[in-house]
Amino acid sequence: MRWMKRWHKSDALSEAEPGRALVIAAGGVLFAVAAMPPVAAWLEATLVRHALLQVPMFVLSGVIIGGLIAGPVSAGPRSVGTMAVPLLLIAIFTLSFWMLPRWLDAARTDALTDLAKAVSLSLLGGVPLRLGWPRLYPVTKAFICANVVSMLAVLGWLYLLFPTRLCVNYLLSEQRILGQAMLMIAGMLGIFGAGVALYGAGGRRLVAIRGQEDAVRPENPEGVATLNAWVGRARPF
Amino acid sequence: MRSAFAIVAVLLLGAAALWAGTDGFRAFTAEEARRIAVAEHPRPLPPVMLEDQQGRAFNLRDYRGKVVLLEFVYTRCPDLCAALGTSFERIREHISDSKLQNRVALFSVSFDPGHDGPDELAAYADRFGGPDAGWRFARPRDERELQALLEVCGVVVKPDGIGGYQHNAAIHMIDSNGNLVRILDYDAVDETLAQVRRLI
Repeated sequence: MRWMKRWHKSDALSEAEPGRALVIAAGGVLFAVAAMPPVAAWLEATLVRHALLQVPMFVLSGVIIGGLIAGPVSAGPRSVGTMAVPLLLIAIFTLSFWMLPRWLDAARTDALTDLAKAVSLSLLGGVPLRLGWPRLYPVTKAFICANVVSMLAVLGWLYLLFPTRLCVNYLLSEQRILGQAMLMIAGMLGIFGAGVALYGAGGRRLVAIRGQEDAVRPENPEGVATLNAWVGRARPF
Repeated sequence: MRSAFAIVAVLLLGAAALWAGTDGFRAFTAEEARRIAVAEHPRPLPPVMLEDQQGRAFNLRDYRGKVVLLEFVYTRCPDLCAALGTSFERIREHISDSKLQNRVALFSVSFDPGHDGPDELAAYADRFGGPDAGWRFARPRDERELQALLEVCGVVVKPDGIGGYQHNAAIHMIDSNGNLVRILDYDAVDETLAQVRRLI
């Protein structure tokens, strides 16, 4: 399936040089739209739109803008490669912070907190994700994806079953809808992930390797290089 | 090596940010945060003119020198307010049997003054054994004063879309100087009484 192959080729954006300026402008526009007062007010009016639409919009804007700094993995500076894990940790901490009901609540009522949320999700969430992600090993990527799915499911379950409101600015019914939505997304991502692992490019490649172990022994650099290309291995750190 | 240093630095900074953002991993919700904030930094209540279940006007400031327990309700509330009222009923029983009598005042303040007039407040009071000198049911006279009071207490009231409200329910404790010193769970009767005894 071609779309699954494309998903594996996570550095496609920076390699698309001709449309790069346009893509980055799109990131700016996405940020501006999500932060624009009337749109932001609409997005933040319900918990589901706030957590599952506006927050991802800011992160995505950062991911797109990050392409400006990132450049192609193959030509990227070595220092960025060694910093893949710290960059990813920055993104994880930033996202975790804004997942706290307390701060989602505060962003709804306090303009300064809302601005901090927009800027940090984009610059400390999306940009580091864009810089670090393509440099991670496939196993690390898969590990993170699996964790995101399980975390979404656990959070969704919590939101669905928590008897009182976690956010004072949102109704209990919205909290339950958010829980259902998170569980649904976790389910879909889980199925998608399983599809990629079993039937996507990665799965098929592993099947292809079976029985050809001799071809990828260290004394056969050509075979090793082919294997590395197949499994999409990151640049050596 | 540089990567390891960077990882440690990010872990430390990230943990510090989460620590600061949760008051030391104690407050993950706005409700927990307001309770900690009030306990650590008591805040003066703004002046509020109230009207009780008999239409008599008074100011919370008139109660300086007493410990005041405040709950925010609306009389049509089907659940939380009734639970709060039951807690106040139990607190009143304990107080009237002890040395705390005349030193503690209870107030049920409506955040829905448009609907809750003296008649509604009186009917509501009857559900909890009726008002007396120690427990008054009241509504703010001025909408701005009400908002200022809710703001200081950290109470957020949201219309629920079916004619009622969703709100955070708690027992607000005001010391004899008129400062909000503690916010307690709506069913924490024993803890409230213990705190009251500590203040007096």
